[in-house]
Amino acid sequence: MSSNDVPPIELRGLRKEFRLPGLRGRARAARTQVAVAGVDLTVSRGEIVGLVGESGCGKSTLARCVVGMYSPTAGEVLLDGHPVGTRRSSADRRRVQMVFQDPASALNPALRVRDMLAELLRVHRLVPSSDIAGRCAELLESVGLDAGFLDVFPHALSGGQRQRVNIARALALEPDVVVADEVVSALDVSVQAAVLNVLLDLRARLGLSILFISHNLAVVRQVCDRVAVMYAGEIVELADVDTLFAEPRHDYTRRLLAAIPRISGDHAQSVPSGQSVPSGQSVPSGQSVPSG
Amino acid sequence: MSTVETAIVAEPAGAEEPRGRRRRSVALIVGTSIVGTYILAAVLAPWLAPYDPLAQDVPNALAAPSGSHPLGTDHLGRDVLSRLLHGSRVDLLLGMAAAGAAGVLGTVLGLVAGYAGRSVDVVVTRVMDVVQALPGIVLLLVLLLVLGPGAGSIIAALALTGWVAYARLVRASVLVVRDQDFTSAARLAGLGHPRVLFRHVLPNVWIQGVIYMTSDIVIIIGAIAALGYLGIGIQAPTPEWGQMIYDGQAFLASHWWLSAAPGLAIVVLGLGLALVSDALTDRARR
Amino acid sequence: MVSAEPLLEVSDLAVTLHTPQGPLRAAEGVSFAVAAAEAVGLVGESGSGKSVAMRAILGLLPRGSTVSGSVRFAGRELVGVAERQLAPIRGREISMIFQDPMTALNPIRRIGGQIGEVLRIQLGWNRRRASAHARELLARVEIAEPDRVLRQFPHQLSGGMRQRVLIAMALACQPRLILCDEPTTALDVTTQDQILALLRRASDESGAAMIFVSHDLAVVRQLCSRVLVMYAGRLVEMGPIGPVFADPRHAYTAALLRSLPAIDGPRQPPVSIGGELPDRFRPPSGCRFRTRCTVADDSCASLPSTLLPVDGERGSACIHAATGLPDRGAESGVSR
Repeated sequence: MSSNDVPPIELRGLRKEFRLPGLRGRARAARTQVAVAGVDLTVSRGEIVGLVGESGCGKSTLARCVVGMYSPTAGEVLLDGHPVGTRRSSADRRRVQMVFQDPASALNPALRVRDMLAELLRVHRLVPSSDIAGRCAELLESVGLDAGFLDVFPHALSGGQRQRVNIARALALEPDVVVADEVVSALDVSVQAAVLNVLLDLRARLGLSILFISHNLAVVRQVCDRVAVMYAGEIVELADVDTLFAEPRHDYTRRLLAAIPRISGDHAQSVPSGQSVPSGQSVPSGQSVPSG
Repeated sequence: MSTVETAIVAEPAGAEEPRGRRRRSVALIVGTSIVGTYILAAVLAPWLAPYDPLAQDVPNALAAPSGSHPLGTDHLGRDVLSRLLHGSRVDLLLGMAAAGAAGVLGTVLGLVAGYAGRSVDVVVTRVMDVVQALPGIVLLLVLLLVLGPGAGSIIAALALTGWVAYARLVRASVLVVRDQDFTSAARLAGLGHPRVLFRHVLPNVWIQGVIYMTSDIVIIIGAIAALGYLGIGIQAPTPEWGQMIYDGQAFLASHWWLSAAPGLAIVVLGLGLALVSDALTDRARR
Repeated sequence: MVSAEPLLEVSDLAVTLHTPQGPLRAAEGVSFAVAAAEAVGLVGESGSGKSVAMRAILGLLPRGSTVSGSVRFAGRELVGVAERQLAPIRGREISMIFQDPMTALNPIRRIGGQIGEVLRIQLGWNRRRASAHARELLARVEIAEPDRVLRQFPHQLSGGMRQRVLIAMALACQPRLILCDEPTTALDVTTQDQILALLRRASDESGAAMIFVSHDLAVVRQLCSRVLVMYAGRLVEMGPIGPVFADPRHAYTAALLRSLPAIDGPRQPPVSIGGELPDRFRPPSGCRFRTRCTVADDSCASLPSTLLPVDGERGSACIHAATGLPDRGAESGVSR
């Protein structure tokens, strides 16, 4: 275990380029897309850092680099101060887990919840085999579901319940860092809060560090300590949550905040501003990003 | 957490089964009972058959159906019912074994092609293209000439020509499943490729192969009959449906039942398998 | 705001969908009216029946669905009439804007051809007149280079541009009513802002009435003057949007507003509505929200499914509407 002042995860100059397929020869070099253009970011122990931006800004690519699904073109990912190689060891993978956006596709439809969790515990030898059943129940309980859900197949779960099972699956591996990629954007408003509270609760109890990726600034404001605003592959503003929402400094952040529809206030105030924002595709430097 | 949710897992609509689902389960029951009857007949053939299927009784050849020979006798005086029952052993066994071998081979190659990197996929896909480009029956003939006659050779030859359909189906499903988040999640959890492939991908794709197999068995029985016709199938005098249809052709005008009985046997089996296949398709879709 | 002669009058609308699990009563007892040039928001969560209810207006439901009740548009009954009689109304007098502009447009046809076709079929115009007007329509939805876009295919456009094209097509025949089904849900927030501004201008200019279906209360707040709230297949509250959001009179509306994360004001922890949506095949008797409601009592189990009048132009299906719901923003009794 490392000391408290070394962040569990740090990104240094992280860059990810994609080469567009289907072209040969000279045109090939020109058809490289920069999805993440050199990002420095740190998440401290027990901290929730929000990463916001619109589709195509590179936030999902960044998340995939952090968890090791993509290997960065340049720059480093450091876990507890140690850089991880391009090929992560099984132990390094375990320490950074991801909770996916789409509750429908994130759970294997052929496996019961119990088998899903037990497999992870068994493969990584996290608990003695006699304790596996107990640990599975404990994991579900920590996301607010009772042990009755252990014997259920994913299709019998509601969206909110699936997303909690997703979180339980990530927790099973006892990670230091969880990347939450748009975890509530597919859920109804009335169940979003329950899932967000599970994350907040885990941070408080386990000291989990969370990189919370979302396009929904109102949700980010509710749960995050610091917020990074991403635009065209770069972080254009990074501030603690109160400062960012009270005094946004970057022009793009201001436009983003102005565009959010408000529920309160009189009717005239809530009229859409209709300001135009340059799209990711027309960034002056020629950078553009793949969608998704 | 101040609230813990309790699992209330109840299937909607208990007593009143919706009409659609009931119709589907009827299809499954009828289909499996037809196929089950065939399998029973094959297993119990030695006890069910009234005569030795090979015993010739030339003076009594080409007898019409009667009490002693319910389906009559063929041109060598052999009891048609007994040959039909014993034939089910040969045809069912060969059909299932060949479809099974093709299915296993195709599923494994389809899994690997869909899951592994692009270079492996290109190689497997090219091989599939080549096998499919050759006329199937010619390939089958060449293989049988190389392997020599016999049941084992027929199974091997049919498997080597038939796996491509399974591989294509399974590969296409794997490409879908591979991009689902649960596959990524399994990899991120540090699970090895074989484990992800066989425990997380395979359970979501194998049903496609099984569905195809139900129709493939009938096609293969047809192919065995065709091989018999060409003289390189199951060798006479072993009772086999395709051979029986062929033998009966010469007497079609006067003794139509000689070809019709084994023909009907194949058609009804095909129907039973098709019903099972439909029910499985519905199940896979849900 | 219901005038004497509403443009659209829906009464006791019920929709039953045919599903693999059996018949599903997706909406029932839905009654409301829309006046000419009025913008009405229809809000609810997934499974609330909001999209189904709106699609039933135009008869755009999956095969095997059954609709009962009445939908009267400009004095004509739309429920139970033949397809042939609906055809001249669809697209011409009532048009629709869908959530996913990619699937609403034909991927293999150029934009110009698709807009022109609407004009040629609905209004009987010739090719030349239709294509000239198509350019004009694209300019009206603030597309900078209409000539270029007319020659493009849907996949060459961004999501926002595709939605502008759909709006242009919806405006093409100067409809009297525009039905919008979550038209900005798939868009980024800055694009959404532009599309909402455009929709607002378009409906002001054309004088068309609008029904705007959305799960997003804030989006509806920007566009509509009146709101209808649905939950589990039933209408639970309706009224002018400002008063409804400021002082909800149904326990569900109140809980939903409380659970919305705020972008201004003091930061507050997430507040959830406890429990899950009821089983759609076996909803609870009486008020369908009572299984998750903090003020429910025995009388809620035997509630008529009609809206009770509150303060004149408002209505609520909650029998506790008058006696006091927990205030908005108060945390009383709502489980985390």
